[in-house]
Amino acid sequence: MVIAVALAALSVALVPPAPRAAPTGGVLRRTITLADIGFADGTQMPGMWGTRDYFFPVPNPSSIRSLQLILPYSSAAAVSSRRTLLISVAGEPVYTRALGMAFQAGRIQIPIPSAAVENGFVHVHLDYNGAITDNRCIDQRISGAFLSLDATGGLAESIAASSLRTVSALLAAMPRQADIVIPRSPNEAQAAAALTVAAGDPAARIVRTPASVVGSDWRRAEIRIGEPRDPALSIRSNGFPELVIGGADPAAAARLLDARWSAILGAKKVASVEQQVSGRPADALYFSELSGDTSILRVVDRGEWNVALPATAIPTGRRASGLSLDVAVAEDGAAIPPVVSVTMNGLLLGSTEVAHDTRVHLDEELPSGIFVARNTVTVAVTRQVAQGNCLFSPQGYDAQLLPSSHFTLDRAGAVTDFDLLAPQFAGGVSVVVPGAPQLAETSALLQGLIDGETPLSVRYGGAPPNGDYVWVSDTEPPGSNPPIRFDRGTVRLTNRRGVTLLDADAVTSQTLAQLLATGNRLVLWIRPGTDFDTSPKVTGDLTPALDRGDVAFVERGRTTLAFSTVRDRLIDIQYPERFNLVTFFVRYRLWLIALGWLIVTIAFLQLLRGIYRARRKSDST
Amino acid sequence: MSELTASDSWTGDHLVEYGLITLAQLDEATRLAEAWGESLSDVLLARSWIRPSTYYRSLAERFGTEYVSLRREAPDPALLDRAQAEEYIRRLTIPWRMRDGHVVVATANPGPETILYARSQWGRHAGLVVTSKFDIQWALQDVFSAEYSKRAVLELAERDPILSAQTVFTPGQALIAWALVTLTALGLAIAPIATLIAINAVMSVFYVGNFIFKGVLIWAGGAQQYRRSREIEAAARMLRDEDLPVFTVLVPMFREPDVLPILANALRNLDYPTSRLDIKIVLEAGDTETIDAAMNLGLEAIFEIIRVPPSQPQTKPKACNYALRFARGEYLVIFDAEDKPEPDQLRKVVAAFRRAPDNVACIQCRLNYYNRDENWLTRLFTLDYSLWFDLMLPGLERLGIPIPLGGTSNHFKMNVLRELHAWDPFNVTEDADLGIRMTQKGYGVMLIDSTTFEEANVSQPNWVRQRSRWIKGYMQTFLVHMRRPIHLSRTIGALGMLGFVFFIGGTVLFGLLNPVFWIMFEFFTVTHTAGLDYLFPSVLLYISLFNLLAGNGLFIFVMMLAPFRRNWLELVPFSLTVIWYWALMSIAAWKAAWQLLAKPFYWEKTTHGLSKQTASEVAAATQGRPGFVV
Repeated sequence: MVIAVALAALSVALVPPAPRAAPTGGVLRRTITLADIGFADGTQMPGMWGTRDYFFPVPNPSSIRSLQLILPYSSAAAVSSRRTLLISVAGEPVYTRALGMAFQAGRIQIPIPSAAVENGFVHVHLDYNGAITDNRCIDQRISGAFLSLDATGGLAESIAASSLRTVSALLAAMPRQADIVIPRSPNEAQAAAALTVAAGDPAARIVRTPASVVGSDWRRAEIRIGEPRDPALSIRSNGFPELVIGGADPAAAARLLDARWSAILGAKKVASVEQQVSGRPADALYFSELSGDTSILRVVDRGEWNVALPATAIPTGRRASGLSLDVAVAEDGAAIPPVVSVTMNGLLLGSTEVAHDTRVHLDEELPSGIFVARNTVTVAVTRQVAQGNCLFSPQGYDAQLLPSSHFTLDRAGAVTDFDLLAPQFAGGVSVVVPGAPQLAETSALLQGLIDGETPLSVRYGGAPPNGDYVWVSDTEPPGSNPPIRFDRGTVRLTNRRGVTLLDADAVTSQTLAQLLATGNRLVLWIRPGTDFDTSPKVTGDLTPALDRGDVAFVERGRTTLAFSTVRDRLIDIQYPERFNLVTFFVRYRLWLIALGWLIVTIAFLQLLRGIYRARRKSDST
Repeated sequence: MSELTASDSWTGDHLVEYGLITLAQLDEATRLAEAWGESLSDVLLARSWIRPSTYYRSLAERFGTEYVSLRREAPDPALLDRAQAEEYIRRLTIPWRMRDGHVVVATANPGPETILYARSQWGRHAGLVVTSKFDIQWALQDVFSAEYSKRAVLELAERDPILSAQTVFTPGQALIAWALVTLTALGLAIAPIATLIAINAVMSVFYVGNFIFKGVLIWAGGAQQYRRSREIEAAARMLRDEDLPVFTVLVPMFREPDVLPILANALRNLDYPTSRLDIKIVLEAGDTETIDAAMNLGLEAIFEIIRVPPSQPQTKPKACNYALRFARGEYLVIFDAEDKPEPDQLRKVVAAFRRAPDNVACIQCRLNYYNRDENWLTRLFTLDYSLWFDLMLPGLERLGIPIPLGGTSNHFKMNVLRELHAWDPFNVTEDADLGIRMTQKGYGVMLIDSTTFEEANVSQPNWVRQRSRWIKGYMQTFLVHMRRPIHLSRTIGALGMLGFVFFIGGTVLFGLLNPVFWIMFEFFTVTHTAGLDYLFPSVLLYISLFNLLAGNGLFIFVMMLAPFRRNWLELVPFSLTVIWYWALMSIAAWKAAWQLLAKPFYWEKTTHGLSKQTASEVAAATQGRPGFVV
């Protein structure tokens, strides 16, 4: 295994770096997609009505040569309807079109003047309206109509490469997805920097050589881990501009990078106004800090807000124990009050009716076991729409998830699952790897457990003297007692009925992660599989590999089997080559039962013989 | 009140004439003999106013015949008729030898009545020699020992084999056990989890039943029996000495010469006419140490030594069966050598028998310990016995459930005892077995409030040996009486059957099972393993928790209640340490189970005399006593 890793590293090192062509005309084409600004699934507007506001960041307008709004869309209606789409940019209508009944798909391409950039953002407003009839006895929403915008759409910028002279300008302009280029033999500080940058970007790749690029489409940024003599953050042009992170402590520079990205992008990610909350106590995590959508919705029958809570957002030593929600729902004069409900990760936590003239407040405890690495809270307002009275068409009323809504935090308990490592690591973690080739896959596995602000250090071999650490090695961490061991011969996993879930080959070929404790330190032991340093990373896959459970098998970046040795009773870990009394009994159960029965039967026969012999003796006397 | 016989009158005058007794002694002895309806010689010898050898030599001289020692000149066995043995004992007259073609009779009671008897039995020319009562008893034992020994071992086994523990397991029982094992093996092979859960469920429900049963028992036994106690006490006080019957006292001993003085002293202190006591010190013939010690102790003539010939099984019930052949009393009681019965116990028993229904054939007195404060074990043993005798046995009596008799202080009607073929020599808790057998035959057992104090075991290994014998005996008793479960149920009733199963069977089963559950509980507590979860589905888990907490808590609580009746409140806190006591019981239970298979009739001898208090009791008892007089 070690030899294979060494050969792979050597082979990579021998490949010369691919030359990168200069962008055509010195202009870089960069598209800020809807996914980049928080609409990972694009935009869906069902029915006959909907509005959306997008804020595309353009922090350095002077470097922009041209802007174009490109929105791939699709639309259809089940019944004849009159629908329209109106697009306004910076408050000015720039595009309108009618949407017919039949299915249609296409691309809306709208050139945007530079003057539309205001305060570093381009504000795009979509207005989708329609009606199927003037008859107010019919609910317009049953039209079966929809308008969808693809997540790959967005604001295409043409940037003069020569204008990207400063780090801030480059940061503002460069794509969020990055290739992190590490030196041939990175030292520990350089490796830590690479991991830190990768932690802040789920779609990042750690590579030895950047991918070759042809043309002007700037799809992936290049962040190079430089030498200690390089400045902390600097720009280098190798065809396309690349950001170089250097200095004596490149990891610190990488954390600064993440903070600056957040500062640039976080405020207007999803068209909401960030509320600065001062004096935040340590036992609360506000939705606004999580870039949660707290915008005003016009609710006809149902409106909902989704807030993501990654485990890495939890401060060190804390855990999310409850939810405190404040929702303002406009009075609609209806007899039946609206209902506010909250779900988390698909589980309904609670609900309440909206009383007249009061703001809704919900306090809910988070049940144990609900928390995972990436959590989604959905707050919904449901109204009984007045319809069928033929007087009024369905009317929407405003509702807003207030920024004072927050997660309540409590002291963290025992760390029994991978996802609970994130708050633990937030205070700092060491990553022990055999060498640079393991960095890429290690980074992928740590997704969801660390982020770009996690104080992180890297060691090549040898556990750190204190603190929690990640141990990437074929051998177990010193002083640990892992549930799955490799010093007892072959290992296989079976269910309670003895059916093999993972045979010995699968166990050794797949990457295995185990959560261990040595004394009062937590250790995440990652035992590399056969394809640990050669498997291609799935780009943009936001699903963390290590989530619930304390043992996980991973293959090609995806979890094949994960379970908890504390809670789960269905999986047995067996060492066929090692004698274990329980296993022996289970395996040879039938033989042992038969042997016991045979012994008892022989004893019974001897007893009968003795009884009859005694009887004969007493009869004869 | 009866007048002295002519022989006794003449004998008395003769002894005074020769200065062997004083006139005052004669007057007193005459008064007592007439009051008790006893012979003059019995009274004189009982009071030790004359040495037996002196007495009998003078008799021989008076009658102009010779005095012989039957121990030196043994009688001709051919002349003795086994069927007449009781008559020989009653008349203290046996055919001795042939002389000149005529039978010469040896008697300890020379006189006209004896002469007439001898002539009627052996012809008008029958001769007469004088010997001592002791020699006659000794000679009869020698001649008939083999026959009596055989009867002592085999009488119950031959007359009522179905109720004899000589057969440990019947073929039917062995077959049922094998069938259960086979069924379990099949279950483990096909559905192991379900089978283990089923076994666990059965045991847990049995535990619950036991807790409930014993709780009801203690509640029933807690009802005060003041009224009966007062009535019996009053009736006992009103009994006149002449109304009292002969009471046989059996004292079986084996290799414990040191503690005999305690009982001898206690018997002397009994409020009962000594001449009405028929005391048998029952010793194994090979136990020369104890025999010699008994003979050197200076015991009165009322103490008769019965030497049991060696035979298997060498058990206390066999020895008692043998001694029963020589018993003369209307009632019989067994005491252990270190026992100290309350002085009025025999009177209370007689009064109780006379007031009880005719089918009451046994009176069980209470047992407790005089060295209860010696150490932790004696305190727990005292709590155990107090719970048993003061609460549980009264509960059994009140609910009409067969009572397993205690080891000593069981008082029997002699005729019923003989009818039931006495004790089972093959059962090492012959008393418990006899109690159940008695009930099956339609007889009843009554409890009275009179206590016999004995020595509690001070040594844990010794205690385990003793308790293992008791538990093995309970196993034997259970096996014997469950040979015909339907018959048992019909004879003792459904409640009696339930009581028998829980009391006898439960004591055995829980001793064996407790360690299994304790080990599981400790294993879970230490390792927090989930490996045992599948054995305890939720309902069973709650039952088991109830057994663990409420059940054991109940037993600890009733242990606390046990000493209240005797106002021994200083023992109450020790009930909290009963857990180790139960552990010792489990050790004893497993030892018993092994012995049941390996050596079922082996009598695990308990060593007595280890207590410091016993030593002081012995010292007090032996002060000023002369050697044994013949």
